[in-house]
Amino acid sequence: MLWFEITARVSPPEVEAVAAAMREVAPGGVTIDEPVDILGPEMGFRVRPNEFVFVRAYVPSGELGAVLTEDLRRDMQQNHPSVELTARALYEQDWAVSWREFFGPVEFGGRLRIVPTWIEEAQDPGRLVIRLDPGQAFGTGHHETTRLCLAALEQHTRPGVSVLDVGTGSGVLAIAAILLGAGHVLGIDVDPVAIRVAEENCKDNAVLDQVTLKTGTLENTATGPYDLVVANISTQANLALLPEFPARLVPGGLLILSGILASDAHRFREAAPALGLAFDEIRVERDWCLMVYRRET
Amino acid sequence: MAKKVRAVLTLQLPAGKATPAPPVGPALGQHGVNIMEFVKDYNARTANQTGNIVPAQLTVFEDRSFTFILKTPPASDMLKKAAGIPKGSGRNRLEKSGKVRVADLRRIAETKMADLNANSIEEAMKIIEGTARSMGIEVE
Repeated sequence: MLWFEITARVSPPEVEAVAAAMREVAPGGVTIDEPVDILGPEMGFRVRPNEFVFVRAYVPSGELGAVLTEDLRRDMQQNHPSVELTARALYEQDWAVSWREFFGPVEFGGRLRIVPTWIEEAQDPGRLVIRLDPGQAFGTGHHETTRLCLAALEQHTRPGVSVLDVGTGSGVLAIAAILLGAGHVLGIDVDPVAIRVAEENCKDNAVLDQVTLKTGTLENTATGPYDLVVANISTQANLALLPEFPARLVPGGLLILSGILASDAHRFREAAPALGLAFDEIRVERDWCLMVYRRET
Repeated sequence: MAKKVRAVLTLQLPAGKATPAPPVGPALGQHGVNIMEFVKDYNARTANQTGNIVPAQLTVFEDRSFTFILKTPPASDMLKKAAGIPKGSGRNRLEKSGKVRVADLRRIAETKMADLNANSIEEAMKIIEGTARSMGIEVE
């Protein structure tokens, strides 16, 4: 089956009315694509005002689609003459599954491998496999910050250690820590949706008996101390929490900080020594870096 | 986690009735968003608003994980209801029709205040009035 994708280029004050007109021909709904500026990590985005917005609707091709498209064209000419309409053909796909093409298995140099649940593969005894589908929580394995953390955990997780995972997201790091031999992980996140997703992922990977998950801030969820703390959050969040971390670490315990832009690394180098944190190593991938500190004894 | 935004998109969908068919499929598929998870969650969260159009503002992060928030129904939908214009009137839309009262504008502005870029209720009412006018709905 073929669809027509109709795109209207609209000035902001007319978006509501044009979207309403397009919903008349496409009762399944419309999409509205506003131009945005993407801000830094954890800073979201800002809509650019006074720029054209793109409203899209989809109608089945064929006679009905042609009539509906023509209706819409006349409506726009008559009521919204400044709107520019374009149309293109789109082949039907199995959209419920076609997005999966973006996600294959990913490896991290060492033993860890993330495999989506829809991919069947033979077990490789040399590999630690995390079964994880992307969803409503950060940490699919397809981002530099997650990859850096997984590689660092692989190197630094000793058998039986206790781990605190700050900003657990999908729970991917908590699962990895258990597979790598950690005794117990506490995963915390301020987002309750992330905690729900993390719980499902821990269950799917049969590690839920060794992982505790809590919604809330560091202050009201984790006392510790832990052998290892990993925080894949943002520069700002890591800097804000930095003075809190040493008290949550055993003497000699490791602090893995990620989600930091490489250009912000100096801010941690400046702040850490006064807090009794000794620099251990830095890893860089593209714009991102991961820093490891050790609590002084 | 270090969430950096990849894309932002608003979908105006019938509450409780999203499916992987267009517009959801092609719009989300191009960003690699887990479509079934979105559809299931959207329908669950809007089940109590069936009959309304409920916009979802979706944020896709760099690793293609996502989140979405629900917005108030579009002003156009509320205006049509207030003016008594039937839904899905198709070709009839070409004829200008319908009237709303100032009280309707105020009620709609109050409902939508949180989603509008307005500093006062009067400013919000002006925005709603502009939408009414561009839809061919008279204010009396």
